[in-house]
Amino acid sequence: MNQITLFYDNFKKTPLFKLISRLSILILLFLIFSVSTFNFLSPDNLITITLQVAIYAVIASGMSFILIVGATDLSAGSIVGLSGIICAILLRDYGFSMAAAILIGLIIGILCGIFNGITCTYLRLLPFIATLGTMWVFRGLTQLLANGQPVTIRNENHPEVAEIFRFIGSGRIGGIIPVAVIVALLVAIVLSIILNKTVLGRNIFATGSNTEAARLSGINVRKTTILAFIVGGVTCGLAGIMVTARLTSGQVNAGTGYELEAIAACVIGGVSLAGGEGTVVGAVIGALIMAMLRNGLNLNGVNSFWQQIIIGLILIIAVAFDTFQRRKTS
Amino acid sequence: MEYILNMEDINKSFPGVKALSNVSINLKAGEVHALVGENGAGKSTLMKIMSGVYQPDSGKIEVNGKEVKIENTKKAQALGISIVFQEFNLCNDLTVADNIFIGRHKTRLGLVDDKWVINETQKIMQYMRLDIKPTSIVKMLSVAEKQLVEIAKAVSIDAKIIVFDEPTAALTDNEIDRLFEIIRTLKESGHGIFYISHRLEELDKIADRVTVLRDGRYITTRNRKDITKNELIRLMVGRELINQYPERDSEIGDLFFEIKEIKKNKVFDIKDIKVRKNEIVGFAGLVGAGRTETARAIFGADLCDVMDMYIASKKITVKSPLAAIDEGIGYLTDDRKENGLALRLDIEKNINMASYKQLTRNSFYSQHMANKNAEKYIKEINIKTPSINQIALHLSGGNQQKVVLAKWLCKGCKLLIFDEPTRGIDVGAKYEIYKLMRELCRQGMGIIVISSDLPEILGMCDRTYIFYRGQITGCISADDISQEKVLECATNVKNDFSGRL
Repeated sequence: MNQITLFYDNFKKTPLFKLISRLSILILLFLIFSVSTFNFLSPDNLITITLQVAIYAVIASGMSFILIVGATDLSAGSIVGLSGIICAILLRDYGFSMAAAILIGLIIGILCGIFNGITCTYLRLLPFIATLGTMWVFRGLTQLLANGQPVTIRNENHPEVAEIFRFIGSGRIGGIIPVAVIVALLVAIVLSIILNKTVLGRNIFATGSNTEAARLSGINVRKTTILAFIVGGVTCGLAGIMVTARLTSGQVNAGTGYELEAIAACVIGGVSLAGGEGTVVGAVIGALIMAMLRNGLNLNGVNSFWQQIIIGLILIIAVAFDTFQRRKTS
Repeated sequence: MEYILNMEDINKSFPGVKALSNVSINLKAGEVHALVGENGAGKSTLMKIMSGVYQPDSGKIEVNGKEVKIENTKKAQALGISIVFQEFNLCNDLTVADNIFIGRHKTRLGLVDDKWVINETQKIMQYMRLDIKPTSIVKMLSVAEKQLVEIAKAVSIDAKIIVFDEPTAALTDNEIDRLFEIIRTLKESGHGIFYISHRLEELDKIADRVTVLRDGRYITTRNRKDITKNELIRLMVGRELINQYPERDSEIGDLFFEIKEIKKNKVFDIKDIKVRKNEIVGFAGLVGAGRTETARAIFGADLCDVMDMYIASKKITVKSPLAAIDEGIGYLTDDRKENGLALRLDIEKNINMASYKQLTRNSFYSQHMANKNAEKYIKEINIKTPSINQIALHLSGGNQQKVVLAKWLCKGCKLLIFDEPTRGIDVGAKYEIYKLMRELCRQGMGIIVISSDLPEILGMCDRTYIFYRGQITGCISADDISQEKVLECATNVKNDFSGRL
C-alpha cells in the first residue's frame, strides 16, 4: 500500500502526469458536450473546432519554446499581423510568387524573433517589458506599411493567388480535413521533435530550469534564448500567412490578442511560466480545451460574456491545481 | 615528482575584501589533497579560480607543467578540471541523464541519442555503485542523491582533476562511506583530487596531504600523517585576538525565553535553549549546521514539525513572522540586502515597516508620526544619514544594519535574533553594533547571535550553543570558552557519536 502511494506521489510530480491530467480534462469536456449538446458530435462541428484551433495551436506551439526557456512573448500577435500584411502587400502590389511571399512572411517572423531575443539577452531587458515594447513596434509597422487599410487580394486581379490562398486558408484535403489543420499538426510534430529530441531542446529546458547551472555547464544561454524566440517568431510568421490566407486579405489588426490566447493555451496545457517545464503537445491540448469550451458553450447558447468568465476561471483553476500539487508534495 | 596542477602566488580581491593573497598550492596524480580553513578563509574562492568561475588578479596556473589561462568553466573542463560545487548546479526539471550530459549530448542525424545518453549514465552509476535511475527527474531526488548526481557529473567529464567542495554536508554516514569509496577508486585510477571539508574527522579516512588557509593566506601544507587534529585546529584559527569588543556592563537577569524542543525533520532537532534577560547567547557552528534554519523556525519564517517554546514560562506557538513579532521576537536576517531591507525604499519606510499599523491616526497612516518615529531611532542608535528620506541602498553596511535594528526596536521586541550581524561591515562600524547590542542588553532584552566569526562569539556572548549537523553538541559559558573548544564541538572531533543522534 505504502509502495503504491509512494509511486503515485512520485508520479504526480512528473510532466507525464501533468499531460495526462490535461488530456483527461479535454476528454471530459468532449464527453460532457457530446452528451449535453445536440450538434456537437457532427463532423461539421468537429472540423469547425479544429479549424478554429489551428492558428492558435501554431502560435501556442512556438510560444511554448519561449515560455520553457524562461521568457515570454507579448509581441506574438503583432508578429502575426506584420508577417500577414507584408505577405499580402508583396502578392498584391509587387507581383511576388506565392512561394516567395510565404518565405518572406516566415523570414519576417524570424527577424522579429531575433530582435526580441537580442533585447532580452544582450540588452538585458526583462522579456515582459521587451516584448511589450516590440508588440507596439511591430503593430505600428504593420499599420504604417498598409497605411491603416486592409490589403485585399481580389479574384479579378490575382485569380491564381486567391485560389491558392483559399486552399491554404479554408481548403480541405479529400473534402474533409482542412489544410490549416494539417499545417498545425505538422508544426506541432516538428516542434515537438525539436524540443524533445535535439540538443537545442535540451538546452532550452536547461536554460529555463536553471540558467546559472546551464551556463556553468558550458551552454550558450543567450544563443539558446534567441533561438527559442526565433522558433516563436517563425510560428507567428506562419500564423500570419494562415490568417491572411483564410481572409484572402491582410488586416492591420490581424492577430491582436493572440499572444494572450497562446500564453493561456500553454499554461492550461501545463507549460510553466517560470520556465523549464512543458510540452508542445500540452500547448496544443490547451488550445484545444479553449476552443472546445468556446464551441460547446456557443452551441449551448451561453453568451460570449459568460464564456470569457468561464475560460478565465478555468485558467486560474488549472494553474492553482499545479501550484497546490507542488506545495503538497514538496 | 611532476604536479598535474600547480598554482603559484594566486591573488584575488573582491570589492572591499582581499580574498586570496599569494596562495600557492599543487596537486599530484593519485592523491587526495585536503584544503581546510575557517569560513571565509578563501578555500572556495581558490577552487572557483581553478574551475574558471573567477579570474585571478595575478598568479600562475600550470596544468601538467604547461602554463594555462582558465577563462571559463568550459575551458576548465577541456583541461580536465571538474568541480563538484557546494551549491547545487543542477536543472531540477531535467532527468538525471540530461543533467549529467548537459551541453555534451551525443546526436545522431541532429537528434539527441537518448539511448546512448541513458546507457552512458547507467555505466557511470554502475562505476560509482549508485542506485539512481538515469531517467528520474532531478527534483524528485533527495538532497543526498542530488549531491551524488553532481559528483557523477564531474566524474563523467573524465576529468583528471576533481574538486570536491564540502561534498558531505548533505550526506548521511552511509552515503559518506560510499563517497569515500568512489574517491578511493578515482584516486587509484590516477585522478588528482582536491577535497574541501569542515569535518576534520573525515580527513583521517581520505586525505594524503593537507593545506591550511587562513584569512586568504597560505599557512602550510603537511602530510596528513604528520599532523594532529588539534594542531590543525590551531593553525586554522591562528589569529590573535585584539580587544575589539565592549565590556559587559549589566548583570544577567531571569530566564525569560526557553526552547524545550524545536525540530524540523531531517534538518534540525534542537533541545534545551535558554535565554535570560540581559543575556547575549551565541549560536556557533559551521555554515550549514542548521543555525539559520533554527532561527528562521523560531521566528516563524519557516514551518517546523515540533515547537515547544516558552516566553516568560508561557507556552507560545509561532506559525508566522507576524505571530513571532506579536510575541516580541525580532529577527535580523543574515542577508540584509536580500531579505532584511527594502533596499529601494527610504530609511523612514524601512524603520517603520513592522509598525505601520501603530502609526495611524483615525485609521489613516500618519506621515508625521512616522517621521517622528524614524527620527527618534536615527538619533537614538546613531544612524549616519543626511535625511530620513535617504534610500537604504545608499547607506553603508553598518548603517543598513542599524536601520534593520531600528525596525525591531520600535516594535518593542524583547528577544532579538541577530544572524551574522557584522558580515560585510568594517571594523569601526562593527564596534558600534556591538555597543548597541550591549546597550539593548542593559535595557533588559535577550539576544541571540548567530555568527561564523569566532572572535565575535568569544568577545560578545555570555553563553554559546554550538551546532553540528542540526544538533547542539555543546554549550559553553563565557568564562570557559576558547576557539579550540568551539571548533572541537563544531567539527565534532571530541564526541564519538559522529552526528548520529
